[in-house]
Amino acid sequence: MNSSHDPAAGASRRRFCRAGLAASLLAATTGFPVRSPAAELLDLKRDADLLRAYQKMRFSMGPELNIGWLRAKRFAVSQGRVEPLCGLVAATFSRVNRVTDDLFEVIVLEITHYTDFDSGALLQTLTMPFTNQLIEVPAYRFGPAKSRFSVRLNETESFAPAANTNEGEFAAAGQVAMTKSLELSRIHAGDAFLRHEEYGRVYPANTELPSMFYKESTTWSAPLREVADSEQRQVDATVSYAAMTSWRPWMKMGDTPGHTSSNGFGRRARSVEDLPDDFLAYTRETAPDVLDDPLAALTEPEI
Amino acid sequence: MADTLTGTTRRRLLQGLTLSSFGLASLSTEAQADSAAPDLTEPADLLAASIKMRGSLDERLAFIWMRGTRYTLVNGEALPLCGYLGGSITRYRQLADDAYEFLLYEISYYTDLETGEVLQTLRMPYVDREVDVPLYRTGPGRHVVMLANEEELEWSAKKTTGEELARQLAPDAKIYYRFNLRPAVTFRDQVWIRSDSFTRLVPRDTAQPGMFYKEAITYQASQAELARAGSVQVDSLLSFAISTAWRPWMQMGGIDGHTTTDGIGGKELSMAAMPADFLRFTEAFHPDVLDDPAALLKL
Repeated sequence: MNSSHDPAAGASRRRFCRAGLAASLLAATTGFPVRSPAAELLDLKRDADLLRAYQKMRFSMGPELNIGWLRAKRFAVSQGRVEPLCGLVAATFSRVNRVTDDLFEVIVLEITHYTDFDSGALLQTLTMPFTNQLIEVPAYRFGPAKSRFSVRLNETESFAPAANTNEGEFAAAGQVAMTKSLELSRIHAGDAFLRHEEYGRVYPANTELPSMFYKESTTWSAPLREVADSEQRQVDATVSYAAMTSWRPWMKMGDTPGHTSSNGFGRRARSVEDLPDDFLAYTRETAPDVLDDPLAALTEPEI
Repeated sequence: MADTLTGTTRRRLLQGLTLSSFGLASLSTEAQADSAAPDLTEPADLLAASIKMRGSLDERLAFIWMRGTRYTLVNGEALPLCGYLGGSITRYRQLADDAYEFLLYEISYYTDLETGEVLQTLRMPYVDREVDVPLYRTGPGRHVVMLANEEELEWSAKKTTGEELARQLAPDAKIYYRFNLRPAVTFRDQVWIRSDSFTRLVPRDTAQPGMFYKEAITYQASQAELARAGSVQVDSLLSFAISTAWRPWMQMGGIDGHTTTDGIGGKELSMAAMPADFLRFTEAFHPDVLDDPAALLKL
């Protein structure tokens, strides 16, 4: 990666490289209570408290490992036609790396499995809609990488696929412009709903390649009393997820106009064993080291 | 329980389907009251569980609210367009093991992203044109919810709530509609059931562009509540993602793109429990809806 000095860079690159997973699912944190300790309640109308609430819903306020999973269906969209493409089941392993009043940073590793739309079986190949071309489906593993979060974040960085990885299958080298935003969507029936938006574009260094985009919305919900309790380091949040992204290089869609559209849901897992069975089975095939020792998988800084 | 519907009957029941579609199902109250915990791998149980989440098995009214953000998507550029606040009045009735009648009346508001207030006009990106924003109100629609169906229907301005409004939403057209209820997913104490619907309109006036509407709605509820003997409905939350072609009122002719909306929502058992802003807007723009919502579902 070209912009390793900028911790924000990892976040953007990660978005584009992840096969389209969208959600940066749950991640973890290391909590560094930013505000004074006393058992005061978070005020979700304050930016700093809103960010802390999001941190504990998606990650945690401490340095522990966080695990979250996501399940979604992906469609191909082209000129008013929508066709089923695949399912996906993914998980992130993460921990909080750094916290300030208006920003926190996590180290995250993401594994995504692309599955048959109906059966849920792990895909090796896929016939793309519209082009009718049979393609190979790459295994997706990204990270560990740094990702930053703030109530409002706007960053630009350079990206190049890491050596000895298949990241080039997901995005070409170039400039990445990324924005993120966070808002309190609603408090309803005792639950708090926080909406997080990400939108990024990749402008390839090779100007003959098309630009790419990634747009993701996630809404995180958890009991308000737990979210607002400054003593509670993390809460069991549920996430709903919707994303759109350009065709990825591995899809070999060429000049076909269109994009993919995905949506689904997920939740925090309390341990590796707590992850969905299909995710565990597929990960044992493709990335067993992550299941054996996820913290170790997070320790190697990305180069 | 009733027998499985024939294809012909399904087609007849689906007449009157409107552009947008939810999708639900229900089981007879009596049958459910004495049943054991549902087996969500069984189609009938899956359908019944879905109805419990979306409405109720005892044919009472249920009210759905949806809140989200709508974007334009053109050449990979996503621009926030407006907020979305929708409300639906619904009622379900079992028709067969594998089919439920679904009556629907919808009221939607397009709102300012900053203030949350109802938009009267909106400046559309790319064409830089100020357009009038219509008040969306359609129904009653009669739908049938099954695990899967594909139907051909008609959209006519003369057969909807208001002829002028109907024109702003879509031209008279042939509608091709596809609906799928997906298998349930269970994790710890929660169950998610998702449906996908896809609607394509082919205008009778071949000079007009075709339109599409793609909607995914996922309901989430407590597994224990779904399994509780005698329960006819459960508290639920929903998330949704919608993509749709430009509507006529947007005046985006010639621009290659569409809109996309996503957000969250929930189910209520009374109109009074709907979100305060939805009630305030409805009192201002559609007071009759608050006066007698059940009357709106009379076909």
